[in-house]
Amino acid sequence: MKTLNFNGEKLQAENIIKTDTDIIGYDENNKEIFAFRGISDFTLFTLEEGQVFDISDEDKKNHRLTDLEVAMAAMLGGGM
Amino acid sequence: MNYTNNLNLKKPGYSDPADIQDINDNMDIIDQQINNLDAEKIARTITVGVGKDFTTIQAAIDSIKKHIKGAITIQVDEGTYNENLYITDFYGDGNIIIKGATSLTDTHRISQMFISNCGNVSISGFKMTSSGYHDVEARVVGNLYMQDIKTDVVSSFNGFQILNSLATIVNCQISNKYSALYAAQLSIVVSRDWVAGAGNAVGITSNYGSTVAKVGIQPQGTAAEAVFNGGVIR
Repeated sequence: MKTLNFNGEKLQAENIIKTDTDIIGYDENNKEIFAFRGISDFTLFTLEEGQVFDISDEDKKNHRLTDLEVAMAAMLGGGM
Repeated sequence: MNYTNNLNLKKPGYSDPADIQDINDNMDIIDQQINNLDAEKIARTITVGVGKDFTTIQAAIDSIKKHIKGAITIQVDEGTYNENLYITDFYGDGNIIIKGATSLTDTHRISQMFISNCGNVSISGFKMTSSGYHDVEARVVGNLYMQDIKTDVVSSFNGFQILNSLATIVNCQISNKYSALYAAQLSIVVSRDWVAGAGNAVGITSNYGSTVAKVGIQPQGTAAEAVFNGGVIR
């Protein structure tokens, strides 16, 4: 369980995903329980000490693709 | 002294002295109850200001019968009215219309408004000046229309707090609040054509199954929107 602090409020969720514009909290069944959208200043949103934001499934896929591309380029002897 | 169960009318005992004031008090209570049973059937306008029907908006509101079948308009002159308005328990298919300015200005100033258990209420043209609570709170209002309402007073409360109500909010400007518009408890709100405002933590919040429909420019905040517990903003 993670805790998001914003404007004096503490919001808890199993996973708290941060994207370029949004912060969304999900429960253990992957159901959305809160969402802040269109955020202009992320510095006002903090997690409890030692906690980190989660990454969305789409971002995970994109990271894997990037890693694959780098690996393939290395195997083919070229650069990216 | 005994009292009746419903209206709390005085019933002197056989050994009590006969006091004409007791009889008069009873008659006043009965007269007020009969007056309450009657409805406002004809559209009329009540004026508020120096030398007008009333000098305070609340006195004008209190002069209206609770059962409304016509359009009752309260026309408010320019000025600062240090009042927390309570618009409560008006029912019937008529409506209460409270009019201040005809645009977003600072000329008509009141502290805050609390609207509850009402049918149709329309309020326009006021600057809110309170920091101690939500500027406008509506609870269980069937049809609330708010236009040209503004505030920039810093507070940790909301501009509009709409609970268990249907509301339309048009051309308002809310700054320096927690949420400019907060809808909760199955409310449905149409949010239209705002002047964006600044300094809010959140522009629009929808909580506990409420729905906010956006049309045109919306209120701004550090987060444009926040949803909790099945709230929807679309």
